[in-house]
Amino acid sequence: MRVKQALQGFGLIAAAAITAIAWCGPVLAQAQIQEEAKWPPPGVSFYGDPGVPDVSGLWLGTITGVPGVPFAPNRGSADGRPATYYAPWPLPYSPKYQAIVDARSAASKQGKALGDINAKCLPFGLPLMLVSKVYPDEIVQTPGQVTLFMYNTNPVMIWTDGRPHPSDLKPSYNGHSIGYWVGNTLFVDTVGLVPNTTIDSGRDPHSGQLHIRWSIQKVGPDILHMHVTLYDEDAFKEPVTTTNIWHRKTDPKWQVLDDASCWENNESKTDSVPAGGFFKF
Amino acid sequence: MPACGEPADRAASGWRNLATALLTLGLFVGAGAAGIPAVAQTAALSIPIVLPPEKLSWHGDSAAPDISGVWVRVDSAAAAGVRKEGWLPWAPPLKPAFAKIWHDRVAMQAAGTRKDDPVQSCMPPGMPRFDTGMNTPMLIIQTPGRVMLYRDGIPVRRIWLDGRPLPEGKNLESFSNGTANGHYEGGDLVTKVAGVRDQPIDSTGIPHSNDLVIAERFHRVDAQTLRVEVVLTDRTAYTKPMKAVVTYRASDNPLWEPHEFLCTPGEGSHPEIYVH
Amino acid sequence: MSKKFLATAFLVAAVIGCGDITPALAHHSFAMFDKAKEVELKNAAVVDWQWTSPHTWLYVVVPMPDGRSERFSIEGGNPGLMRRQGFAKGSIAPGDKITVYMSPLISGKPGGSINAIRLGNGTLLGERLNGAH
Repeated sequence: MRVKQALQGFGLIAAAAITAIAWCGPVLAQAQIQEEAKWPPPGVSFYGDPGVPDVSGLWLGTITGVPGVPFAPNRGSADGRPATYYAPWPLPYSPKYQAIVDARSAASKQGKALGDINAKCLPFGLPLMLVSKVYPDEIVQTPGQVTLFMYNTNPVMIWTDGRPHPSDLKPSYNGHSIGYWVGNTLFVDTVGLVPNTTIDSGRDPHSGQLHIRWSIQKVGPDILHMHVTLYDEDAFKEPVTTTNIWHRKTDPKWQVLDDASCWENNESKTDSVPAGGFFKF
Repeated sequence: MPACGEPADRAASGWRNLATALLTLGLFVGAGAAGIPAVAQTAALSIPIVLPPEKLSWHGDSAAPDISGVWVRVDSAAAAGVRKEGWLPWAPPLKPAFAKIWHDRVAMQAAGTRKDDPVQSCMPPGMPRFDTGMNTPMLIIQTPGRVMLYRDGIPVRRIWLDGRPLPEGKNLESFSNGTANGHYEGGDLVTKVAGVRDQPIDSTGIPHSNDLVIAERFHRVDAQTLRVEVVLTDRTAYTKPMKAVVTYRASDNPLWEPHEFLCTPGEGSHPEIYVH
Repeated sequence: MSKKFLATAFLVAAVIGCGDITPALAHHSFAMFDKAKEVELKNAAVVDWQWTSPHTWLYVVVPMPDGRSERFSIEGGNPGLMRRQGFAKGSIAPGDKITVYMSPLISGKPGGSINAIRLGNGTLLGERLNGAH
């Protein structure tokens, strides 16, 4: 089963190598993570340790895009900040996945969006919801669990109670996330993603082997640094990484209050044609 | 850090559990050194999976009850019999225009022609069905300032505890879960919900108007039991309030996780019927 | 699936797998619009303003230079996005006269994507192309 292969292939995280620098700086070569790694480092507490920082609150990151390609008005980051990007760029796709990227790019030029799962009312899922923010996330921190509530998609639950990834994990749009704290940083391991989620606003793909290692680092009372590294031996020739800076938002206008449903008034329901000469598209 | 308000009868076992956790972790990690993938290890070890400390609720209010955790419904919604989801009085006390809507829906349901149950169209069940019409486990997360309630695949409910008033007039939008605030009172969580989208309150199709206000009382009966009372008041649609009670027991699965629920609308579903 | 099954499944909380069955799609993306252009629709009479997901929709009737009227169907973002740009459910009502600034459909059909709307009282909701006022 793919998840098991992914775990066997990547092993567990190298405990000694896990420092803030290793996460934020140079990308781990894939060979490194195949060594016997221990999850998590010894002596680290899973629980709502009183020593860990409080990352709860409403946080807004930036959108993740393509270097050099600006966003149209009202389509970029919700607070006007510049987009962030993956490195290395261009994304180091394997030939098989580069072909998918090329096909999507060609289709876009003709006005079609291949791989647009959201148009089918499927959840955005991960990694997109971690790295490309147009809405704020609400982070809620309780013993054993850190939960990200996001607009219009299922919450991401990071289990910090010591449980492992289930052996019978069924791939899903959010995958399965477990985490532990070191100092001011929550380190998270996510596996079990369906292959049709995307990694950025350009709908760049990944495979079912994707293994995300990411962290939430509280660098100040109102700033989180999200460091995300994608390990995917099928899709990428080397891991790719991005950092997204999340700002705390306190103005009520940012509060996620909507519980909208994608099916409420979906233009894909072609059997409900608006009256009076109007149309949906 | 949030203040942890624990009821007096709860043992402070957090640190003991932590020590257990670290001991288990050491063994866990030791097995990892043998190169066995993590998932296989759990099965091989006879050490039980480490549980989190007894549920500490970071509700920030020492007088607040702890209603956090995973709750499983004691009786199924269907077991309420004719009164489908337990609403009383039955038949529902509807004013004439609304009674007609209901009777039409009941007739269409019986004839197999009803098209306007939003749940069939993959719309969220909304309130009060979130409380009274569901059998999935309910996760309650209590934090200072708000309580979140979550069930698989349904938009999370937020109950604001920070004293904010409900919006009024055209600022009160229609959401499937409405907008809710609440406070702790007499050991219970008491809430008020308004601005509920035009969707039936149950599977039989009982309607409501824009004036619907929902009041809930979450009462922790004992360590294993939570009772939720739901009262509907609607001066435009109902001649008297309607009430239902749902009883939950604490889940015995410490490793419960939500399931992903993806819905595809059936043929001939028309969620846009509810677009006003 | 029959309706009864769906109803039961809902109440009995089945674990339902990834729904890959997709309806025939009148599928869309931002690639449908000419984002480099902005079309101005003056004296647009509002027929409907749908404050819904996944998109808000504005239906207007616009007097054209040749004397006839054209019906335009214009799509906006979902309410969460629109709210932050200043829109609200009650911003626009049938019968209002507004000016619409939109990125037109590449296909040439009378429709597009909302950039901004100027209400009768002069208030601008949203953001025009290149930040014009």
